[in-house]
Amino acid sequence: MRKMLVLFSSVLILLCRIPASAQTAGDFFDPQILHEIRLSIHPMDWQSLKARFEENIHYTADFHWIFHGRDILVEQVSVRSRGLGSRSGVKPGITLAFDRFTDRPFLGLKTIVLRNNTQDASMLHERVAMAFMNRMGVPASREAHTRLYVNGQYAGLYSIVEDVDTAFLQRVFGQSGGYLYKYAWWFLWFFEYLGADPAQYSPYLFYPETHETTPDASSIERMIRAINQAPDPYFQDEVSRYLDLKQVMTYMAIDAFLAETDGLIGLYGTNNFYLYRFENSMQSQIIPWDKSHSFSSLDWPIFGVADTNVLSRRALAVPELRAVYLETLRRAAELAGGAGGWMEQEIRHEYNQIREAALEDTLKQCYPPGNEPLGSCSNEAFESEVSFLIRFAGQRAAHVRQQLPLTEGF
Amino acid sequence: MRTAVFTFALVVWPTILWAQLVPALEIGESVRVELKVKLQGDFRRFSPLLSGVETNQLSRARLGLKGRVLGHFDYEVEREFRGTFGATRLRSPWTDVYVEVRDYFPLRLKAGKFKLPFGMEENTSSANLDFVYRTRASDYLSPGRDRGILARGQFLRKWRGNYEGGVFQNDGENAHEKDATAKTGGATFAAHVTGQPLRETTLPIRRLELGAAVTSSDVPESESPAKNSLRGHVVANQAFFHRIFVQGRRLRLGVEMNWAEGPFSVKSEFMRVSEQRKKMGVEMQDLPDFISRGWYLTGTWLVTGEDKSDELHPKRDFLTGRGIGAIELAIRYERLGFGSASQSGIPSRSARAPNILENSDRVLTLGVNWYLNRFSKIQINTVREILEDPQTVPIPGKSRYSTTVARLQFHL
Repeated sequence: MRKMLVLFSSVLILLCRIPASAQTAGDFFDPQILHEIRLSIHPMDWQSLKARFEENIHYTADFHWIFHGRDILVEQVSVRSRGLGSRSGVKPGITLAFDRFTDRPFLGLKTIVLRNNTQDASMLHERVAMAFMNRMGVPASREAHTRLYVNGQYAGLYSIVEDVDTAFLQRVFGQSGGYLYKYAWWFLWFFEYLGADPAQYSPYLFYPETHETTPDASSIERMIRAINQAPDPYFQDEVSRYLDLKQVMTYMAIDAFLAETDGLIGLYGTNNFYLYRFENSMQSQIIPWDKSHSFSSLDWPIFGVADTNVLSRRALAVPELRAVYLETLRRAAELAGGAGGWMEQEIRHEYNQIREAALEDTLKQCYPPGNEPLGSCSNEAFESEVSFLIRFAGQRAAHVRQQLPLTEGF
Repeated sequence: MRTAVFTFALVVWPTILWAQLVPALEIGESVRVELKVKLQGDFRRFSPLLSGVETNQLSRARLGLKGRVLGHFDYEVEREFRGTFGATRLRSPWTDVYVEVRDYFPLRLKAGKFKLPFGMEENTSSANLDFVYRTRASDYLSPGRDRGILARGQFLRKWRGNYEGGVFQNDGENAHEKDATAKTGGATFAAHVTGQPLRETTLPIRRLELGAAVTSSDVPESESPAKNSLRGHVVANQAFFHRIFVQGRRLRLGVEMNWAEGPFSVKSEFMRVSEQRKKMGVEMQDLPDFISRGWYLTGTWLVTGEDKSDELHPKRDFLTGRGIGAIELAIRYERLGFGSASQSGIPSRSARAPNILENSDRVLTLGVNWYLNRFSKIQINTVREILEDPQTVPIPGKSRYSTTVARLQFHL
């Protein structure tokens, strides 16, 4: 009888800690469930990560993904604090690299982000926006929400964000040998030409995520020079050698529909995107990143601050590109729908999924009105922002449609 | 570097003259004072180029005094002045500062700051090295200097047995970290024995000297993220194995071999350091010991025929002796590697890995030494390094590095 008990226990333990091979990356980003992630990290390391949250120090952790009751363990992952404005020592944003220490990806994923959503009281902006990007045909990170536990303690509600890396490129483009850059915000920059020195662009502004030691910065310099100096009649042809301009217009229009204030055409200069130059090609494409500042207002103008940015101002002056932009806005209004439409349903679905975890999250943070320093975020602020999002989903399409006929004079 | 060359010209030649005229200052029989000077300038080339690494540098600019007082007290005081000439200032510019009592007891007693008796090459003066650089193992596994007291004496006279044993405040400057939050080893016990067991035979290797050494200390936990284990750097002084978290006993074991006959010499050392990692796991579990291993084998040949076993004096000095000085060829192969006592589980590069993914540096050095006279030496070395894990090396993905270095040296 004792042998039977031991055998039964052993089988039970094995079932509870099964290898990850049975799952897929799709399961990991399954938006239909609220996930549960547990990190085991030396208490001194966790304390240090929070105390030195402004530094990119890599710490070691064991990663547990509780999927349908099963504990899927990945040992020896790297965790570090991440973010720019969202960095927090109370509720740290985390970049989690599966392969940094072991060369072993998890479910084909090298890196994921556990976003702390400190710039968004609803904690929904990012996921809804990325889902909408995907719905509009722009490849974007897959996302899901998760409860995060650190050493057994609830550390809050986080978004799991698929990182834009070679695994992502392989998934969406079927290749990863090209040049991937992450735009690094250093100052208010609106795509102006900064001179002929390639180092002004990369690795400074366009940080190489692939080909790190040979970032081919001169290609970026040529692209920016064309954006600024190509004569008007040749703007589209010359810039299209470096940038898929129709894709850029689509991207900008979706950002405008989502009332994004900190994106490619942002209030504070350009920000939050990746640039991928395809293998054996000079042409690049924009990949979205960080949509915390979308859903800023119901009546955000459909051209936003396009006139402040060299790229958007000159591109919108080309009739063909302008038409792509306006058509994308029309399509966005259609696919988002109005009251009861796709966007509202998505928001309600996500809200119902995370509500309990969000209310239990005592570490959630947000910027109070007036852009004060990051502070504690109340449950009322959470509910209030979700209500606004639902209103946005119900009314934004109409606002955009109203503005469309008024655009001829731009 | 211009400053260094200027200093060299200004200081060296008058000093040589002075040293030849007045080798030591003596006041009666009670006080003897000798001047110590050590100047070394290196001209280096690296392939591939490494950012932040100085190509030309003043490696040593030391001045000191040594001698005897009251007949029974030997002393030595030496200070590094590199920082004065523009090099990075050292945290501890005083090198050797000690007094040694002789003749009062059956053994000698030494107190102050000096090198722990571990590592044959580490305890060879930098002026007398066969190569420009010490081995990776000597630089990173040997403890180096610290404050302490040491007793030494002889045993088994027919084997020329020598012993040293001492207690030190910490476990040497080589293990220290600039970050003060990284705790190094505490009070350290060190012991070293050497002997020539074949001395009374007629074998050609009768001068073979063998030795063994041990140090033991306790390393307290460091405040994360400051790590406190030993580590490994390539010749260009960039890390190929970073420190990890350790806590508990640090035990160094070393064996050595030294043979010199006529113009030939062969030397070898093996060192092993184990560091405990109590409660260093992500779940505060004990981890298998962190193990560092290093060894080298060196061969030299004085082609001009001088005797290697004695202090090397060229038969005919360059210019002043109407000769070419002494010329020596040297070759060395070495390895320094890091890993864990247990290899079970996923190999990992993390600072809290139960099974540490091993990395090692294998180094081949070829050298020519030109002894102009007993004060001056020019050394030219070419160094080839191969690293085992190309991901944690100075340039990720690049595992082969080479260095060419020429050193100008003057010493008294």
